[in-house]
Amino acid sequence: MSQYHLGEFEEIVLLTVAILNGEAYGVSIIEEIESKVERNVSLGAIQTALKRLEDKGFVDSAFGEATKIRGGKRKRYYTITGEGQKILRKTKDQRASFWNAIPKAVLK
Amino acid sequence: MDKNSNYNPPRLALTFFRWFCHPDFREEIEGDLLEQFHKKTQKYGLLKAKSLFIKDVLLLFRSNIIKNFSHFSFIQFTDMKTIISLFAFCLLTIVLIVSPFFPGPSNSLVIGLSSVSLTLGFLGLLLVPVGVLWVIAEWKKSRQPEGKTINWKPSYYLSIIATVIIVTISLIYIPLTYHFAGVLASAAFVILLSWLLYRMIRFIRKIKSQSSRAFISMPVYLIALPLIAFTANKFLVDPLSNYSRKLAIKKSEILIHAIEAYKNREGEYPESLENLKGKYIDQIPKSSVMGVTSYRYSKLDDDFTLAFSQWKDGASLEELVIYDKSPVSKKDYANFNYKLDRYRTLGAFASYDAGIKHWRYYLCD
Repeated sequence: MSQYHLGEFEEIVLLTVAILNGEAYGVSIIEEIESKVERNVSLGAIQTALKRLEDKGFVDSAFGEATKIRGGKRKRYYTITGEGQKILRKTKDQRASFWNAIPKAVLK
Repeated sequence: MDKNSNYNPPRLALTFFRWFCHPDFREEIEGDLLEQFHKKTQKYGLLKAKSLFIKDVLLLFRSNIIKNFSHFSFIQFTDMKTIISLFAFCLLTIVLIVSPFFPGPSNSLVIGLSSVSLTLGFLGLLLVPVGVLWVIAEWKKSRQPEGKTINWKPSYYLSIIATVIIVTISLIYIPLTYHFAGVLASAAFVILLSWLLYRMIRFIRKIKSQSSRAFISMPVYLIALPLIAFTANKFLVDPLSNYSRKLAIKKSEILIHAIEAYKNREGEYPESLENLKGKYIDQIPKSSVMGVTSYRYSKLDDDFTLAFSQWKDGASLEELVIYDKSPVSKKDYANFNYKLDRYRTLGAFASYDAGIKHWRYYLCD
């Protein structure tokens, strides 16, 4: 298991990369998150999270195609790595253990 | 493709982004910015899309997008240690210049150190052209291809010229500092000069050894420090001296009241401020600013003056601030209207209203 932890926003970005399954790049990730969590996300926040996730080894990236509306600049596509999948599962299990520990009377 | 794809994002913001963004990330992030701009133009209109583009660029200005400073074009020849050191020296220069206006008791060392820093601002400007030429010479040297003989002569001669200017300025100014600001300030000047000469000689040797193409940062200091000192003097000294003058005047109000109370009771003004102690005032107020002297009282026939002084422009200009109730006369000469008063003959070359009744200040060099 990786020595790195996953921040809350990093977790959302990593989940989105997994959801988009090979189609994840800056703008598509922003659109996906904004549609799901109903809050505005800046490109700066996304790029920062993506660079951190890449440094931690949870995502890989590769250049894709360039389009005219991108001023001829290529997209960088992100895909989740094996380490990324492991950390997501671990995070999910941790959260589930918290949910399971809540007494039934608390959440009626 | 619709017509919105032809709209251009704010050029200045895009230029700023290209300047700060690390080259490894520039293509993908710029593409994302332009794609978002295109989509937001369709959704919100051009004006809002432009403002959101500027906001996005500003939100991208963060450490891991900049990544490191080495790709910044204006500092690519130098390292972080030099930048921090340069920043620290500039800050120190500014602090020394404004230190006579800090709160605290009157201090001649502070005035002397301030005058040393201000000297950098005036006489040090002679070094700026030399520094610029030296930077160009260093830049050319650092870009010479490997295997080619290093052209060290321009840097060498310019460093010698800079050293001669520094020594000449110092030889003139050290005795002046001793005369005006005392032994401590002149000793500080000598220490500073010795350190500077030591550094210059090291640089000169390094240049002459032709051993390295590395950019020598010394000329950057020769440009930055005089300009910083000159700018600080130009824009900070006047407002700060106005502030400290008003502060000292305000603090003297209690003293003037005590002097007038003495006159009302005793029928004449006191011989000295010491006569006021006890009955009219508990303690004689002292200067509340480091560069302001203590109050000086003079009894005249049936009048008195109260004065203090502060140094300006590198201990070359003393500002004498005087409380005097005698009227100021005016005289026309060659179509100029002069204000004449009794201190006109005491060496002041100009006098101004201090903005408070009966207070004027006189500039003496």
